[in-house]
This record gives sequence, structure tokens and C-alpha cells, in this order.
Amino acid sequence: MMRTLALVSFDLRSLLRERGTLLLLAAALLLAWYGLFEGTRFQRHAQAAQHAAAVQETSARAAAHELAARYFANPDAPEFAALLYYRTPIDVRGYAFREHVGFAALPALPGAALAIGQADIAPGTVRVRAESMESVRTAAEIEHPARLASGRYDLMFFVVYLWPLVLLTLCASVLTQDRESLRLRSLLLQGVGSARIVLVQVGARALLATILLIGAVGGAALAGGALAADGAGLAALGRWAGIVLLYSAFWSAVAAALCACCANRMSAAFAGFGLWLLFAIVVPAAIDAAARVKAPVPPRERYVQSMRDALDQVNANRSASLARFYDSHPEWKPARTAPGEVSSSVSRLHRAQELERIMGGVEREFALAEQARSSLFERLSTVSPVTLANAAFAAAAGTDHARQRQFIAEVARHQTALRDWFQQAIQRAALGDEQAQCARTCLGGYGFRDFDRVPRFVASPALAAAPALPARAWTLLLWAGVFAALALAALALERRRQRG
Amino acid sequence: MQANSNATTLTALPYPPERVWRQAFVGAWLADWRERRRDWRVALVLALGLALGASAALLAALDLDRARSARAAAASAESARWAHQGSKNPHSAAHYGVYVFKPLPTLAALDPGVEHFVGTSVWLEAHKQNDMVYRPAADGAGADRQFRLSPALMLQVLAPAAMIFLGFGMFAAERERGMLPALRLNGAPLGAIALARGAVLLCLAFSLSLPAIIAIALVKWRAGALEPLADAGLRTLLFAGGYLVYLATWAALITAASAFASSMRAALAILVTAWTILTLVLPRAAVELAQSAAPLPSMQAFRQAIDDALGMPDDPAEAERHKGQLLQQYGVKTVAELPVNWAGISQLRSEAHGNDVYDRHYGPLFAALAAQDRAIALAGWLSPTVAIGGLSSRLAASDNASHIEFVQAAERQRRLMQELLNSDLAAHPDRNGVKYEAGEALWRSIPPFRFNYAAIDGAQLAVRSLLPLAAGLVFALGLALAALRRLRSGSVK
Repeated sequence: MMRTLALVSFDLRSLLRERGTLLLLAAALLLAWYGLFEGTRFQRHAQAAQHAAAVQETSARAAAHELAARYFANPDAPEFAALLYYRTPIDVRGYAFREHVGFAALPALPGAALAIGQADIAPGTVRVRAESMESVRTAAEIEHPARLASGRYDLMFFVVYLWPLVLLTLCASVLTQDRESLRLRSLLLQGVGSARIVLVQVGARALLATILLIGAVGGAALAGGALAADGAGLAALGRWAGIVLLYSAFWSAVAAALCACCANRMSAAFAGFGLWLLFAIVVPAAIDAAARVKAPVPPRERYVQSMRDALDQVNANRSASLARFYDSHPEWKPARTAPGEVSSSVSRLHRAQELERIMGGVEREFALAEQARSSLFERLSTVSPVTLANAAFAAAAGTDHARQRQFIAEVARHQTALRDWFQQAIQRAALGDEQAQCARTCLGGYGFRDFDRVPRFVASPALAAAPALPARAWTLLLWAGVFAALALAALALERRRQRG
Repeated sequence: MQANSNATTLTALPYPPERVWRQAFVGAWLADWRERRRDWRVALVLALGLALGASAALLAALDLDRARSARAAAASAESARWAHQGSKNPHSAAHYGVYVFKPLPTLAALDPGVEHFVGTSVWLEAHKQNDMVYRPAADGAGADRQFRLSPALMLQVLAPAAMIFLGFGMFAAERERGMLPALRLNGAPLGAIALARGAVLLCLAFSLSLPAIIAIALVKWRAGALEPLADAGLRTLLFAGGYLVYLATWAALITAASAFASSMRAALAILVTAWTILTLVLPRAAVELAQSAAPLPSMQAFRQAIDDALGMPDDPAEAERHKGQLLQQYGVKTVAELPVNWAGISQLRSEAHGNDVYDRHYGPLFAALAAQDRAIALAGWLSPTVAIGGLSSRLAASDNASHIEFVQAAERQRRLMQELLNSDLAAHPDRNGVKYEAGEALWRSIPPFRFNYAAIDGAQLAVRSLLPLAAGLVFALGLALAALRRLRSGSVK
């Protein structure tokens, strides 16, 4: 044990004496801080948008209340002379289809700034309209598309892609330098095995560097407000640090295998860069390509055409479908108006439901194709530590695809409830208007002031809960074990060769 | 472990310098080429590169082919749907609208640029400038956002890495093995040797792009005359030329580092660091930092501002004044007596108001995006990868500017449609309480949407991409010359 500690201490001292090592670590920390800065900037922008959406929703409701109070007190006031029913919140038709402002927001988790993940593609704030999910399905935040296409520079990018290069560079001289300087034989004569040298020195160098990274990033995140200095913030930092440690363990094992196999530092650096290219770029790209080929998603142009066909069908069968609708809802059936004569603003939600019903098959087809691609990608990602790390960082930050899907599913449930609520309100209003027609919007007819009773989106506790360390992240440890075993096997082979 | 450790041995001959130079070049080329052919590491790198390149090209060609056929089928179906929508009021037809689909040039298969992250179609309807929807990225599989396999990734990122693998020992190997004095003594011009070795490296790098070239030729052959570019030939030439300059820059950088470094390890370290900074860090940092050049609003703020500004379709008092004028002009008392359709006139006014609002909001948004484009392009002076990325996506019409060009063309078509439909409605008043209905003749009178990307703006392209790219090459050549001078007269260590 003392010998191991002495070995580590000597190695670290000599490593830190090199100016190159210090420069490398300084550059790495600067790049990591810059990544953290960009992640924080993105997160603040997203939070500001979410806050602004909430403010807009509240002020729209307050303005609607205020207008309703004035209008229903004196509908004949000159200010209401040019009021258009479809453009005012005091008419349920205008409110349901145009003036209702409702947003659904995905709660940000405490570690969201540590990985942008999919958050820039899938917005965390969406406007929900009673009529359909279209506004949610096609929602996008305003971003320069080149930023999405080139891939974000955030802390996750730094850790997943650049940090391995730092670790490989730091560890490339373990054993290889001893071999080059012919110092290895004297070390072996002192009873220090080459396996111990490799594992201990690589482990110590990587661990020290990783702890430095975690400390520097964690400190900056807490100091800069990217993470709240409370239990939730510290837990998020802990999860992130856990993944960084697992990922660093994998690359340390790769470095150990390289040092065990390569005769000199140059070969180790060469092979290290090659393996980095393979793991960081080639394998993930190949997985993505395989998922694209093996599980293609039908072109969206076909979706558009199906939607147009469905809309034509709905329009063509309007009377029959409305008759069916009123048969199944006799309580809303107009007494004097034939189903085909019902005004378009009264039948509009039913039309949207019919469209959805006809599109059901197509929607399922696309959802299944997307699911098939996602699950294939997930299965394949086991062979790519970089993909596993990407997924783990995004999941820990709550910016992953799965959480976004869960959010959209909750929004869809809310939208159904919202539509049902407005359907009931509009049909009752239509009945009231039929019974006691009034020339302008009035209570008992289409007049509306129940703004506070309109359903609002509330995220489930599951969406707001902090995630556990993703289980798949532990696969990185398995990968590390494979490379550590490779290192030991290479050293055993070398020993046998020397003895032979 | 270097892939190139040859020592060219040529005897100084009493020939004119040009001949000596030529002979040295040919000799070095042949020696280098021969040695690389025998080197299993070169074969491995090339085999891997070609396999990846072929996969990238095949995928790109298949994707493009699939997207083009889907869009062509959808566009033709939309056109038929529009023409055969039956008799209806023109304003109902305006609400029915049409979808238009973004055309894809062949070069977009080589460099998909932003295509995966922008919408593919837009609905042109009354009153609204809709956004383009259905981004392919929304159907993406998982967490990997970086390094999507494409020929552009191969050429911009992986080809330089392969060149580093194959070339970092170009001169460093000779220095490390103590053969530098022999190289100096043999009398062959170092410039010729460096050029020959750099050219071999360039040839090897270009061999990685062979699959892409074949795939593009096949796609082009299948596409026939469907190219939506006014200047496809010029773009293709510039595209090829740009990548030649880019890879030549890397060949020069590798020559410089290898000639300058004291050992092969140092050469590799310098080159890997340069590659990491130039191809990985700067392109991403540039697009991130460009946000500060012209911040973009959030979608919520943007939409709220438009909704607030749209407000009423037009000023009711102004509408009343206009109505009064018309009644006076035609000498009638009520709107129903007018020989024109007041609803159509109102729609024209409403559209004019909407167009004004959209211009006031989309104009600054597009200007901010363009400002970010300019800011990103500035980083091209620091990184040749940024410069070639900008050039390549611009020429492939897969950049942000080309996307905006399409969006604006689609909006012009929407406005034209609304103008024609509302003018027709205005010219045909309702008779006896029966609403006016138009038919196929009117629908067909609206010119179909045919979009071609405008010819490249040479001056803009030169300033944003060509000059930085050329400057990068000149700088790299300068470094290579300085390093060769040091190799010739500096310490042999």
C-alpha cells in the first residue's frame, strides 16, 4: 500500500511539474466554464420565455375579466359597437378559438443548465389551443438553425467530446514513458508490477483531473447561479458528477489499455486519438445511420397529405357526422336548427374531433415508426459509450427525449380536457342562443365570463421530480471493465513474451 | 507508428533548377506513394474512411431521393386538390389554402446544412403568415446531436483527421530518426519534397470523397432537370474548388507542423490540438457567440407581439370612411346595392393590414438571423472549417439564408393568392342574397408556386467564405514555408 501511494505521489508530482500538463488543465477548465456559461445562458432564456408566457396568460385572463365586466354592464356602449364575436373573449366562440391564452410549461429541473440536450429542439413552453394539438405538435422555439445543426457547445459537449481527449493526453505517458526511458526495468526490479503501474497511475491521474473538473465546474455553477445552492441543486450536481466519474472511468480504462499495449508515448497518443475518433464520432454516427435505415419514419409530406384528405372527408360528410354527434349528445341537440345548418363556429370542435378520428391511423403509424426508431437507437446505444453518456447527461438534466415525450403526452391529455370543456360551453351557449336569440353577444347565449373555470395545465409531480442517476449510465462501468481487462491481458501477454 | 517515414534520396544533378525541382517533386511523389501503398496503416485508414464515406453518401443520396419524391408527390397532389376544390366563395378557398414544399438541390445531399432542423412545408392561407412546420429533427431518434453522418462531416471533420493520421510524420519522422542531415545533404529542394508529400496526402483525402462524388452523380442523373438552382453548374464548381482549398489548407498545416515539431509526438500533439480547436470548438463557439450579435426574441414574445399588432383587421373608422366613399362613388345607399363586393374589399384591406404587421415583425427577425449569419462568418477568418461550412451550405442552398429565401418566396405566393382571390371576390357582388361562388377557372388562374434559389451573390460569398478560406490557405502555406526554412537551416534536433 505504501509503495502504491509512493508511486502515485511521485507520478503526480512529476506530472504537475510539467508546464504542458498545467496548460492543458487550464485550457480544459476554461472550455468547461464556457460550456457551463452557454448552458446557463440557454436555460435563462428558456426560463424567461416560460415566465413571459405565464405573465401573458395571467394578463390575458385579467384583461378578459375586465372587458367582460364592462361589456355585460352596458353592452350598448359605443366602445362595443364594432365588436366582432370571433375576436373577443366575452363571446365563448371568440374565446375558444382565438382569444384564449393557455400555455403548458415543462418544469425545469435544477440541473437543466448542465446539459441542453434536446431542449433546443423540443420547446419547454407550448401554447395549447382548444381546437387541436397542431400548435403543440409543430411548436418550435426561435433559434438560428445553424446552432441546432452544428450541435450546441455546452457543458455536455465539453465533457462528452473534449474531456476524453484531455484524459487520454494526461495518461498517454503512463508506462510508455518508462518504456521509452528504459526506467521500466528498474521499477519492475523494485517489485512494482506493470499492471499496478498502469492501473494506479492512470487511475490517479484521471481521478485527480476529474475531481478538479467537478470541483471547478460545480463551484462555478453554484457561484454563478446555474445551480441553486440548496438540496435540489446539490443533488443535481451530485448526479452530474456521478456521470462524469463513470464516463471518466471508461476513458481512463481506454487509456490504461493503450498504455499497456503501446511501446511509446507517440504510439499511445496516435492510438488514443484513433480510438477517440472511433468512439466519439464514428460509432455514434453509425448507430444513427443504422437507426435511420432500419427504422425509417414515413415522410412528413405524406402526413400533410393525409391530413388534407381527412379534412376534405370531414367537410364532405359534415351533415351526417354532425347528425351522429347530436345523436350521441341529445342534450346539446338544437331544437330548431338542422345539424347541417349549425354554424361553423358551433360545429368547429366537432370537426376537429372528426379530423382527429380519421387521422388516428396515420398518427398511430407515425408514432409507432418513431417509437421503433427510438427503441432501436436505444438498443444500439449500448455499443456506444459516448451515446450512453449523452443520454445520461440529458436525462439527469431533464432535457432528454423521453421526458419531453412524457410532457407532450400530458399536454395532449390537458388539451382533450380543454376541448371537452369548451365543447360543452359552446353547445350549451348555442342552445341558449337558439332559445332566446339576442342580436349581440349576451349572457345565457354566447356571452362568456367563466375565464377562471377554463382548465389550466398543471404538470404532474412525476414531471417535476428530480430523476435518479439513469440506470443505463452504469453500462459505462461495464465498458470500463472491458478495457481494464484488455489492459491486464495485454500486460500479461507482454510478461509471457518477456519470460519466453 | 507514423504512416509516412520515408526518406527520399536524390542525388544533386547539374541540371537547371526547374528540372531539379521537377525531378525532386516526381521522385518524392513516387517514393511517398510507393511507401504508402505498402503501409497497412494507410490501407486501414483509407478502408475505414471509404466505408464511412460510402455509408454517408449512400444515406445522403437515399434521404434526398426519398425527400424529393415525397415532396414532388405532395406538391402535385396539392396542386390537383386546389384546382378541383369545387365551386365556393373565394374567401373560403383562401382559407382552404395550399401547402407548398421546400425543394432540395442535389448538393444538399452532400451538405444537408440546416435542412434537418427547419420545417419542410408551409400552409399558405388567408390572414396568416404561417411558419414552416415538420422539422425532420423532431422525428429524430435519440440523444446524439453532434456529428450526424453526412458527406459534409466526412469532408469537413473526418478527412482532416485522416490526413493528420497519415501525414503527421511527414518530416517529423526524419528528424526523430536522425535522417534530417541526410535529407539536407541530398540536394533535393525541400519545397518540392513537401509539395509532393502534401499532394499525396491531398489525393488520399480526396479519395475519401469518391463515394460522395459517385452518389451525387447518381442522384443528379436520376433527378434529371429538377434542380431548383439557377446556377447549379457554378455552384458545383465552387463547391469542389472550396473543398480543394480546404483540404489543401490542412495539407499545408500538416506539413508545417510536421516540419516544425521536434518529434513525431509533438507533431501529433500540435495537429490534434489544432484539429480539435478548428473543427470542433470554433464552429460551435461561433454559432453560440453569434447570439450576442443580434439576440432573437422568444417564440412566445414574437407571437404575442404579432397578435397584439394584428388586433382588429383594420381601423373600423377608416373602414367606415372607405365604405362611405364607395357608396358615394357609385351613387347608392347601401352596401348591397354596390356593383362591387364590399366583403372582398374588406378582405383586401384586412390582408394589407396583416401584410404590414407581418413585415414589421418578420423583417427584424430575418434581419437578426442575417446578422447572426454575418457574425458566424467572421469566425471563418479563424477557422477554415467555419469558412468551408458556410461556403458549402451556401452553395448547397442548405443554409439559413437560403431557407429564409424560400420562406419569403412562399409568403409572396400567399399574398399573390390572397390578392387574386380577394380581387375576384371584390369584383363579384352577391346577387339576391346568394353568395358569390367562383370555380376552377379562378383557382387555375393563380400561378402555381415554382421556386428556384436565386443565383449566388458573388461579392457576398467572396467576403464571407472565399476570402477567409483563401486567407487560411495562404496562412497555412506561409507557416509551411517558414517551417521548411527552419527544417533546412535550423537545428537538426
